[in-house]
Amino acid sequence: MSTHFQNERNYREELVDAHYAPPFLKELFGLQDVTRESTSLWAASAQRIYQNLTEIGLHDPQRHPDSRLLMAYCLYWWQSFCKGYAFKVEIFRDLEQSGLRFQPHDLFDPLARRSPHDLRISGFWGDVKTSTYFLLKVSGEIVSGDFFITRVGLSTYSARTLVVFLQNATWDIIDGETLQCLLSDLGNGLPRPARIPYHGGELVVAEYTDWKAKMRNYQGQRGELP
Amino acid sequence: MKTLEQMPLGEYETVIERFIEEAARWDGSLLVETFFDAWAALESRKDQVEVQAEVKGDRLVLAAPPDSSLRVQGNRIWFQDGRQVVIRLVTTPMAATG
Repeated sequence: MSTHFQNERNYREELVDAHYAPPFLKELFGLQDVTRESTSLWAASAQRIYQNLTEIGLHDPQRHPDSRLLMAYCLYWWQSFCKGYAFKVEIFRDLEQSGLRFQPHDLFDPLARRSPHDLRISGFWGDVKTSTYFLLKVSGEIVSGDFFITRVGLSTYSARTLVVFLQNATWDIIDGETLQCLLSDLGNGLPRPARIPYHGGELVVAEYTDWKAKMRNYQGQRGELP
Repeated sequence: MKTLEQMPLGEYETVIERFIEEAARWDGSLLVETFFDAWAALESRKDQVEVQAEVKGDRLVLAAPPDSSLRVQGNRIWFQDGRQVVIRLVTTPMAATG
């Protein structure tokens, strides 16, 4: 096993992604209420992963307790995948319903799924993230996309809030006015777009609905809307 | 704090069942106690790693037990994070007596 699966990416791609991603994504696109219904879709596929890894002998929790770690890794990875792609589908649907023109990458193509961007809108490359973990790159690099649609938990808001993190230059093209604040004070800054320090530079954070309105306006000015 | 491989089988199966039931609704946040418990558990880990050494002529030959997390060959040790340690024998001239 150790010679075949060179690293954790091999594990998840061969044991999980290759078998479970295509049917999961197909069913995901067929759901009416992605947020609610995707949870049972996840649970059903997670049960199948548990049974399958046990059947092929990679998971034997009684005789080989270490194999529980492989199961935990696969299930953790799979829930991140399911949650991440359910969120992407939600956002893509919402952008469509909002009348914005954009090009999502092909979620059924494994190579496209590994690309650094999820969608392109009016020439800007963007990504859809389930949380702000993307700001903390282990490598120390700064984020390279033009914008990131994500959710943040703010003490001043009762539920997680949809926001968009944008590079300064991207924001400057679609609008200009911002409020200077720290990421930790974002709850007090929003709904006004805020400019936060980031790795020696800055990022702009705007509410998702505000960003959509500005993008619609921008696309209208450029004659991109029908 | 018990890790998965240390739990009795029944407890492990319950943890997995609960994870499958609840993970999709989990928003990624952790209880403060859970976060600091996990941090403390990681910090307190002091794994002892055993390497055996033998001097064969002018060479040092290292060996690690089969279940070791280290890869060892000759006088070189590879850690899991890719770093290597090379141990060289140094011969000290015998002190003159008389």
